[in-house]
Amino acid sequence: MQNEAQRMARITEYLDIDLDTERWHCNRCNASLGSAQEPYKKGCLIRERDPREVHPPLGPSSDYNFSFHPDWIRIIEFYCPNCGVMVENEYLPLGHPLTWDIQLDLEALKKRHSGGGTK
Amino acid sequence: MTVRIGVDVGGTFTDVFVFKDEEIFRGKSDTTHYDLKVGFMNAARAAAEDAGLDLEQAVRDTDSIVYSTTVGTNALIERRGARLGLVTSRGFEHTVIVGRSRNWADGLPVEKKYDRGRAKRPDPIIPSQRIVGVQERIDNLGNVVVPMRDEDVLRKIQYLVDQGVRGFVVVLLNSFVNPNHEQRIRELIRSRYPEPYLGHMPVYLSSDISPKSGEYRRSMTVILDAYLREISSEHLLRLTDELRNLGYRKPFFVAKNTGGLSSLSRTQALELLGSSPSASVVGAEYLSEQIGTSNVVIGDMGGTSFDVGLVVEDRDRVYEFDPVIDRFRVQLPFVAHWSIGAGGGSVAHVVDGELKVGPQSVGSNPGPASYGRGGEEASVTDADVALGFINPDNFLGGRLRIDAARAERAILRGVAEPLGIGVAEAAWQIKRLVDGKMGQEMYRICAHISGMDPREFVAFALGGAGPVHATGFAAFADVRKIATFPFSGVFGAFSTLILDILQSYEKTVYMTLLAAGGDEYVEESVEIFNRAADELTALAERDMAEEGFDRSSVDLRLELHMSYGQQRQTVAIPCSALKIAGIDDVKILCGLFNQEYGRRYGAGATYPEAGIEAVLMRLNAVGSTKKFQMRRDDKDAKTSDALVGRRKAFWGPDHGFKETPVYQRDALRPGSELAGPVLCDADDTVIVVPEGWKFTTDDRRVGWIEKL
Amino acid sequence: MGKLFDEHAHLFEDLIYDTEVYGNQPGCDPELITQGLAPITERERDGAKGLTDVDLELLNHKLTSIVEEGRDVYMNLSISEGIITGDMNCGLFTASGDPVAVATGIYFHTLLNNAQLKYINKYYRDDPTVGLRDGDVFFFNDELGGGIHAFDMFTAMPIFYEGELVAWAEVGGHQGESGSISPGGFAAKATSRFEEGLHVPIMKIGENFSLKRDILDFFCASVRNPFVFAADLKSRLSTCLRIRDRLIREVERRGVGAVAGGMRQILVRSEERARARISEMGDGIYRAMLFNDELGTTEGLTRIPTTVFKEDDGLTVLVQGVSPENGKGPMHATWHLVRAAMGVYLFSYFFRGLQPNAGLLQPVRVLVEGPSIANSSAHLAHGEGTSIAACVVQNLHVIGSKILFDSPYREAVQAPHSRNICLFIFAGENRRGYNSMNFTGTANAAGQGGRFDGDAEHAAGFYWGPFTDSGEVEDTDSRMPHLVLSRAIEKNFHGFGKYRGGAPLVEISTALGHRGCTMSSWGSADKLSHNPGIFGGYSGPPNPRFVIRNSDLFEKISRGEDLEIFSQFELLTKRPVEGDYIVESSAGSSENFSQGDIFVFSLGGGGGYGDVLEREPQAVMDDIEKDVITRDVAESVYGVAFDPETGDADLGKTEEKRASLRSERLENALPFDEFMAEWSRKKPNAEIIEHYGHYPEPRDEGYDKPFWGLYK
Repeated sequence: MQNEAQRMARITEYLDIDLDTERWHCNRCNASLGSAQEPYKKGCLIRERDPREVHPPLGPSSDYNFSFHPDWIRIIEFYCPNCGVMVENEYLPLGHPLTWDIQLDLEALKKRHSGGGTK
Repeated sequence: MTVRIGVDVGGTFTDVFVFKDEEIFRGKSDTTHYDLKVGFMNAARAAAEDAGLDLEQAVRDTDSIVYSTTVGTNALIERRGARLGLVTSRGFEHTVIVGRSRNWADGLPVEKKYDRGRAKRPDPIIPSQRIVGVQERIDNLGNVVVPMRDEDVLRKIQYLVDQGVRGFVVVLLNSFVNPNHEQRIRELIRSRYPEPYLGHMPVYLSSDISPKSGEYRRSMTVILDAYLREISSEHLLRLTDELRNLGYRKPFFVAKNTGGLSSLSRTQALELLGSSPSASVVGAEYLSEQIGTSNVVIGDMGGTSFDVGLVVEDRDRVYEFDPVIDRFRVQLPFVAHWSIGAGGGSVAHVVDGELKVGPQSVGSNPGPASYGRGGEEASVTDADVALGFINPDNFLGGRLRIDAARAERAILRGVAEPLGIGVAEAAWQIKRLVDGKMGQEMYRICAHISGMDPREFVAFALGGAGPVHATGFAAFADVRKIATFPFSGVFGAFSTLILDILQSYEKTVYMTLLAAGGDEYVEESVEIFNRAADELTALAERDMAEEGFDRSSVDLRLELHMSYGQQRQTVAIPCSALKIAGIDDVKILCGLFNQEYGRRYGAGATYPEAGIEAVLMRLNAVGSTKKFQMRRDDKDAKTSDALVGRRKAFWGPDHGFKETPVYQRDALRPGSELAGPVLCDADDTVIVVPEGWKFTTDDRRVGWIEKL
Repeated sequence: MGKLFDEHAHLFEDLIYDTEVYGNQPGCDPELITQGLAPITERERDGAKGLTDVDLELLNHKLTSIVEEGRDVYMNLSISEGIITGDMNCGLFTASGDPVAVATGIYFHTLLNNAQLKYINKYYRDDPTVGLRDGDVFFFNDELGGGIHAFDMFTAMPIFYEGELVAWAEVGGHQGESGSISPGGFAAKATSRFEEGLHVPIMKIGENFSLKRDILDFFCASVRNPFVFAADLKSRLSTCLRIRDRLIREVERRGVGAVAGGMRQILVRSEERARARISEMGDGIYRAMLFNDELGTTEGLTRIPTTVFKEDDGLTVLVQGVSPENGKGPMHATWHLVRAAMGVYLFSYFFRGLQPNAGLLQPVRVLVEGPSIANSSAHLAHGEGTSIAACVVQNLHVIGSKILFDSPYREAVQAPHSRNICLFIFAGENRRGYNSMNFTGTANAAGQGGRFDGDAEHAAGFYWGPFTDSGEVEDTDSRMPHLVLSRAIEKNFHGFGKYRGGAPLVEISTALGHRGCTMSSWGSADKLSHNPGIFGGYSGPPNPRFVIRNSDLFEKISRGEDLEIFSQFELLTKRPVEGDYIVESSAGSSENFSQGDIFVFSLGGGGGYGDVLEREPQAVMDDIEKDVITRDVAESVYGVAFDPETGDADLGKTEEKRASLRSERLENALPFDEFMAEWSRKKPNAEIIEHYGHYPEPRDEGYDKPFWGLYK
């Protein structure tokens, strides 16, 4: 778990940033997910899933069935490599680049948290 | 000697009111929620003493006792009602669980109504595992599209019984047009659980209790009524026994939110909720006739809320036909009163450097900081104390000590320091903000509902805080004349003794009076009209006979709710007779409708080309009761002996603190006239009269505040 | 422009970002559309002097109560289904034409009705052939001049006091029928705006406080339901008059200066508050992305990305890398529609608790790339530009939640409300002999997204009109031609997550009587979804069109059999009636249906919040008991083990099961570089991306970055 020395800012449900080392950490197990200058997704284990595993198709049509069409969309899941919690997911067409969703101004972040971290 | 007793069990206080001939006597006590009759007895004893009678004596001599209670409200809040099962049309089992989507906001204060991210529906009265759907469907014309099957019904009933239900609510789609399926379900339940035997369970049919369109509102109406029935009647019967033991032998009535009285056997549990503010409207209506004011807007300011009601000249009482009770919209001809979350207990605080008052309230416990019961937050009452309006030594006739220092400290910390102003100015801003919001809401309701200019209205300032803030909210409401009453602090209880015996009947009735196109009046509407009217009249005669009124002594008022083709909004048109003779009467009704519609929404808005329909018929059966007459005294302008001293009061940043003359209201003779600034102390309130206003008392001891 | 924007944004040459791609049009001046708040006037500046906070608070409360009274009048008098259920708004605008107070229904309409008022002020007021006088009534519905789509129609009235223009009253909403190629206004297959019916940029339709007969006749002759149309216009007139009367009384009481200055101050305050809040949030660049699957006449993948630069007290919303125009249908938005639509998210969530008015949008700089499906040319059909604008709003919602989590406003962190619209528009003679054409209140029963601290509410309003009511079926019975057989919360029809999304009401109905009825549908999100979850929560599922033709429903009824037709899930898994089960694209043109044909209609469920494996096992069991999910979802998705008899969760077994699911995750997952090596080799089939632009980056041939958004 998190050691006392760390000054953490909680950025999302599952992501913290260590304000001194400027690294992403898993909020659940504190595993490091790489430099906060980079997308945390680079520090995750990534899995492509057939959307029908999560959204069971219904009805007669293979084209339209209240699930996602695997020719169009796949689910990309990002896990903490240590505890396996799903940090984030994306629904993307095949081969589409991932989204750098959070690119923080770290200097501003430190200034905002100079009073200490958030939980 | 005739004696009548009125009882109002409120959330905080229980008020008892005794009319002896033309005199009024009052008793007040804390409401005892563990057993409401204890509080009642204490208040009654106090009132009897005030009247110079002992309780037993008073009760024996009393001609009638009228009771209004919040027992249902509390039972509902605490979800202490009966364990019910709901039988509805298959496919609509979720109707009462999710309602109409937007209903998540029903019953919320305006600050929360738009906070959709945090939307949260109330806990259902009947949870989903006690709701079953039977396969059947009737369309809006009453045709059976999907027939119902007995074995299906019996299977579902058995399931509910296994769930341990103690009563059945039955709401099927369009049963208000064709009740056959609902009635069949009752037969089947009765055949399974016959009345003479143990285990018999009550069955509540929506087509009996609320035969009106709108399955969600109808369901909630019947469910809440059934849910509260047992607990309410048990409570009222215990009280009746208590009174019988004291030797009371005369009729016992309850006040209803529909604006009248009835005996227990003719009262629905749902009609008990909020009966007191509804009664106040009727009381105001009655008093306005006596004192000769035609249009009245009521401002009843208590500890936690500000209730607004209306009395409009030559107009039927203002009803709300689908009021919200707790968090649920129901169908009930509620005598309309609008509750605004502003009262003596409203908290004043500073957000983003701006003053806010409410919506949170300190309630009655701990109450305002000045009550010294541990309350720390600054409230409107504390501001009234800091401004010198409330007399710390004589609050509620001395029943409650007020600590002015605490009030000032709370305002200093909560408002003055954050805003960087003085305590008095902060208190003044608090008063101005709360007066402004109350007054502007009063304006909106008054103007919107009456369709008239509020300047044509007189305000009745009721409730403990009403007269304190009256000139404040009246100014914002665009009202220049205010009436205060010797008993304005207990107006609700007073009003229960003004109510007539009343039964209301409503029925959805689809009829087209004028065909679309606007030139052909529809012959068949005559028969539909008369059939429905006969049905309601028969019910009225049956019930009023039970109340001891024969046909000749009952006043039957029929009204038709009309609209242009397919409009949802209806306008109630009073009918001059209980039957219509033919097409000419249809013409007359349509004419009246066009006229009233044009008056409300502008002549350019009338649209007979769309056709004219009626969707609801409503019958009020009224049996009148003996009412209190306000005594008239001779005028005597001598006021000096009512002057009890002077008090420092703050009259705004421009005037600052002024030594202000203080009068004892009850010592003021009829005909007194005082120019503001002046304060009139009374047991239950303080009448605050600023500069530019005058205060006069008339020969009925009504205190008038008027703008000069 | 801020440092982050300058360093990281790279706008493409030859594309337009900060205004409409089209220039001046009849009754339309893009400069007025993009200017934001009009410059403050002398009258406003002087009037504001000496107004205290309490004065403003009270004026604000007063103006709000005026428009709310107006809303009540309009909703009560109107007879079009959309208005009755709240798909409308009612507003008070400054003399210059900026919205100050709004009652709704729908917020964002109001943000669109300023351009037309400003146009009147600039071009018509001094034009002797039009002019602007007390008692005038104006009408507008054209989507180019500041509107949404042809069937959202608005009416405005100037408010004069002693000859001086002090404000505008405005009211309008979803009128429905607009004389378009398909009844009810929605033309899912339109490829040109001239197939979408009536276009009125701005027209004076009344003088001296009454409507002009000839113009009323013109309108009635242009639409299929003249009676509804005329009734609605009359109700708008009453509403404008009511608002006018109330405001004039207020001007008498407070004086013109205090009201005009106060209204302006309210806008200024809103802007200050908004900026103050933004300053408390984390500076950075945030991105989100959605895709659409329908063009109108044909299916096809298109892309709608959104980037937000949050710097100091401002936001820059950049909609860049959008798929190009395709001309294949009405899914083409305008610059102003995209901007105004943002109000749907910003007003309720991001700026939660602040007074909703034009001031709140002042700190938000909007850049929408065009020509593209998000900022499109004039000649195209725009009826469903709302679908594209909504994708931007959904992106903004996801981004907003990521900005707000590490801020004092975490309470507003939530996955987006469902906008997987498959709207059914029914037309025909109802059972009371009236000709009706519209959708039902069930459109207002979509699910919300999961919250940071709990589950979403089911059936919580229409995407665009969060404060709309889904009405009662007994009322629908007397208004619409079809008959509703069931309206219930649907199973497995929301986004799963630690906190689940909300499910919609699904309305299952049949055509009834010998006439039957016609139905047209429109929407998208049939093979994918516009209802993302956040922080690992799963998306709300796609929502295609579902009807059953030639069913034996009424035979079964007459045989007295059980009809297990009361949920979409049952229908599709058990096939309880014989018939042709047709699940297809939401974009359907108008077709006839006869008795026994079954319609299955809903607006979809919201996305989930957080990792499914963190959901309380008991909450999962409650979902089963309340019929919100099936047992196999509980086991396979949530990893809950339970006793099939009692339905009690087995906590021990659940922990084991979840542990094994977590290790299964890790076994099947790859480190970033290995993953990208495989993933970036893949590509959708050519016909899917025919109208997408270059793949994957529509505007940038040969784009090969692992992360979208790195243009430098």
